[in-house]
Amino acid sequence: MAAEIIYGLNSYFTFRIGSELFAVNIGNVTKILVLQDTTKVPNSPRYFKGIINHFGSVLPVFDGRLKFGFPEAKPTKNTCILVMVVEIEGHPVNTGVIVDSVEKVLIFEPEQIKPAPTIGKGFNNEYIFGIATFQSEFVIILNIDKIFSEEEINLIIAVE
Amino acid sequence: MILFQERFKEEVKEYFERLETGLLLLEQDTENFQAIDEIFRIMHSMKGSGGMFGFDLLSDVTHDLESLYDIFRTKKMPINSEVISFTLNAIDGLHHLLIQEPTEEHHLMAQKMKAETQLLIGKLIPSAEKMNENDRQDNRTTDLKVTTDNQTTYFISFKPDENIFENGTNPLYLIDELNALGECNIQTFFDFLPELSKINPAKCYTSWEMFVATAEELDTLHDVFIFVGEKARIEIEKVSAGNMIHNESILAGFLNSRLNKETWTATEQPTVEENIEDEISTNEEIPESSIEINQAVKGLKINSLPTATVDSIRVDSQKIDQYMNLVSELITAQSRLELVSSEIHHSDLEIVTETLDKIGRQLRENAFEMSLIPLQSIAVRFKRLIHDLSKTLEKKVELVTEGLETELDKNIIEKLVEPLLHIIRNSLDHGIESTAERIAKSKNAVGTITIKASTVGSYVQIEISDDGAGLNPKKIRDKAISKGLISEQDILTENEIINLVFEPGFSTSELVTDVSGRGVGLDVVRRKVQEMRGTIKITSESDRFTMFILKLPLSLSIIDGLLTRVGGYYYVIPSSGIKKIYDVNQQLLKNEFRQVVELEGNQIPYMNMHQEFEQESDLPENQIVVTVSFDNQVFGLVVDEVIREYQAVIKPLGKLLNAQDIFSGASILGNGQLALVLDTNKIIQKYS
Repeated sequence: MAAEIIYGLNSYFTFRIGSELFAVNIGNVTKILVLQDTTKVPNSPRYFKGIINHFGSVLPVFDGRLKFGFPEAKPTKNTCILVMVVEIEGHPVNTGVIVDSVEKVLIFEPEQIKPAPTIGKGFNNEYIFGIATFQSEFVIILNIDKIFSEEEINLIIAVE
Repeated sequence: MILFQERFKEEVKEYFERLETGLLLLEQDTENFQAIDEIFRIMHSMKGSGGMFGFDLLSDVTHDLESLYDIFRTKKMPINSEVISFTLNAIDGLHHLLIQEPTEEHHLMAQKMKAETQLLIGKLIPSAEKMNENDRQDNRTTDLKVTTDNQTTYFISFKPDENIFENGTNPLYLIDELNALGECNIQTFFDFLPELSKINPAKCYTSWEMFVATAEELDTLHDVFIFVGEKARIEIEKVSAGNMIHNESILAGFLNSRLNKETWTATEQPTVEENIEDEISTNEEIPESSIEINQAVKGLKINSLPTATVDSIRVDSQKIDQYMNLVSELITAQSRLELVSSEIHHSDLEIVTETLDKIGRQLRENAFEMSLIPLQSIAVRFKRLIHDLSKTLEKKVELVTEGLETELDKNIIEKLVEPLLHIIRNSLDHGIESTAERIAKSKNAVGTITIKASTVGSYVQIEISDDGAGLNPKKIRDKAISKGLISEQDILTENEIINLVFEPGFSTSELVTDVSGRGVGLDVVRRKVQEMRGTIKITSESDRFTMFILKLPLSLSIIDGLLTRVGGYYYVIPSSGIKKIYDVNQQLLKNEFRQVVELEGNQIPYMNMHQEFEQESDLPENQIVVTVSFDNQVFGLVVDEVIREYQAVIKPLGKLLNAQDIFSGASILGNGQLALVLDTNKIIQKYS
């Protein structure tokens, strides 16, 4: 499964983790998979769920709840794996994130996206590309490449 | 056409490689006329086909180079190392000219190369201009001279049936084809030609008799007429060994005896002297057109002569990769079938599954062998590097190779080129001393770099050594301390110290030279080797030698392994490292002080994978120890259960999991789940 990021779109794919509505640029999303058993990789951080067979290649899967600081929860029938393409060391790489539910695709013009507030509570605002509103709810648009940046990979090493 | 051009490009790359090989041979022995001939021929082919496929600049420059080599071929002047170096550089230049839509820059480059070549020719032969004019003439005579040796002259009588045109045969094409095989002397007969009024244009009235001097076998001549079948009378007879086309007395003698129905005995040993003389004197009589065809075709054909390997075909490497992938998929699918079969318990299905398993195994082996290529295939690049560098550094170095026929996966070979070149570069630059220094040390003035390859189990070992200054452990230690790699207090063996050169941020040379100080160090070499699941070590003795030892797996993608279970997950242990499997009781594993288990009287360090990987659950009462070895070290891996032997198609874990170095990848099990593949070497290094 070749990974490719499509740039320059202003559509955003939204999903829910906990009570929050998150969004990533649609150009980064490749697939939505039903939740399946993962093969755990020993000595990994807890938010790294494991690996799955994704059309003959290995797909790393992260637990979105743990990754974004939410408490662990039992999967529901809406829980699924969102497969996204992120850029790591200049190469596009498929990555799976377990989310509570997938919502809809929204269009935000650049001027509708406000910069992330400097005092956020809960998580690091470096990971946030911007905030938009939809039906009077905040939509957190994620900076997906940043979330899986090199520092994060190093985290995996550190736990070893 | 584009396809042909791509083909041609591939071919030219091979030509370049062969040119380099030839030139490096010449470097050692400037009297090697066989090599000169080969070089000339390749240039000739390149010129011809380059023009044909629209690589005009390439063709143009090669033309001049060819003229240059004509000087050496005709022994007008001996070749010297200046010319060899010049030609090697020119080949590098030609790489850039291998394009169809040249820019202004390319034109300039070509002009410059041509000018330089002309200058060199002028230097070698003062009357070069004249020579150039006569270039074509010269080529022709010399071409004949060189190739007469293995030629035979045949007589062919070709009397087509009247109705030969009916099946679409054009006899002239056959004649052309013969002409392509070698030099021809053709006579046309119109004996059967009726009166004009009776001529039927759909019938053939012409017959031919010809002499052909060719290096081809008699069978090849017969093959020309293979499609004519019964539509013609064909006689082929051997006239003489050698090219007798211009020896009229022999030809006449043959025709006479034929006329008188005498048996003709072919002369086996032509008198060379006479032969050449004849050639030159009769040259003018041969129609120009026939020669041109002759030459062009010869140019095209000749490249296959020296290494005529009829039993091998050229396959696009992408196709091999594809094939390997398909075989991998097949094996994955097949293990799934095995699983289904074991659940269904149907005897017929089990038989089919077993057969398929056997075939799959063979197919895998076959595919594996197909993707192996010998190290030899990259040897030219080593030689070239040593040639160029020893000039730049003004050091005399000889390359000795051994076991380069050792085969490795093509993907490994490709990835191996850079690291190996880097090591050689290092040896030349830092290892081998200057000639003066060597003499002062009463060593042989000429340094030696040795590349030795051999297969050791499922690994290939490559040793690259130089007989230079060796490594200085003290210097390395000081350096490592100053770089903060180790602290003053660290106690390291000499061996550990010299292997510090592989650490990132280490570089021994005080001056950054043009040669090896290019910003990449040996750490990059080590990383590249490790990426291929290989290892690299260095040993050295001061003032005697430095040796790099690389160990590489034979293949990257499919391995034989042992499927094991630890807790709820499966792991594959590669069979190559496995020594023995033992049943153990928890009592046996309990050791207060050290993590060792006593097996057959030996104390073996181990890692309990259950403990290590499954912190939550309790240890089962009975476990299994799989002992693996690496580098004389034996290490135990404790698992919960050994399932069975397993052919694992290794899938990379991907960039995000690069840090997980004790696993070399994952393999898809029959049920679609993944099993991690252990890298036993890494585990041993890490845990023992």
